[in-house]
Amino acid sequence: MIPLWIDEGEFNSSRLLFPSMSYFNIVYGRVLLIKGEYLKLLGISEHFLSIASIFPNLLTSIYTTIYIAASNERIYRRAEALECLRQALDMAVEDKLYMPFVENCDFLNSLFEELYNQGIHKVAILSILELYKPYQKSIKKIIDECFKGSKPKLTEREMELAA
Amino acid sequence: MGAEYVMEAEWYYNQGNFENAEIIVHKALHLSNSHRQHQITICALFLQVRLSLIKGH
Repeated sequence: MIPLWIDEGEFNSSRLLFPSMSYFNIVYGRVLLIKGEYLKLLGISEHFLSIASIFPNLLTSIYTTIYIAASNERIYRRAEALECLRQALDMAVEDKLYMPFVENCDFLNSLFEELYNQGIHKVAILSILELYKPYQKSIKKIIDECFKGSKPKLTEREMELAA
Repeated sequence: MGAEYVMEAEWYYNQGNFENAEIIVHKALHLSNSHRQHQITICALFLQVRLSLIKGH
């Protein structure tokens, strides 16, 4: 369950300090992606990038560019989607930062296929897809065990924190 | 104490090198706990949660 304040992007109602806003945006962006709010995500992604550039925060820039790519793909703007994913890979490949792509691979699979066929970042794409296999399996296992049928019992305090 | 190891462990995690990430996060936890650096401990525990997720736990 996603806490309401994250679901609604209410950073200011939290007690978090401004430097952590970039990390909040990583989570909030993924929430918008899962909810299918692609146009909203595209609309506010520029703000995410400007926040990420203040200190600066490369990880948030990579995640945001991935979200822009995924959103464009979902609204059938494939050329923009491919260009954004290429930009995200350009930023990440030198440091081999693969996990942001693995975590969002459910939205990027077909784009990776096309970039790979174009010969762009082939080694990185293969590594990402290789990492995605066990990741996908683990996520499915957790969902099956914990979010289908009977849920694990939490104490009252654990429920309070989880909400 | 331990922040440098949390950063190193996160670096390994982001590269998909989960074994090294797990080794280094233990180093970070040990140091942060022994120096009562609770904020570093929280970061290390969060990374451990993400590593557990990779294992499907």
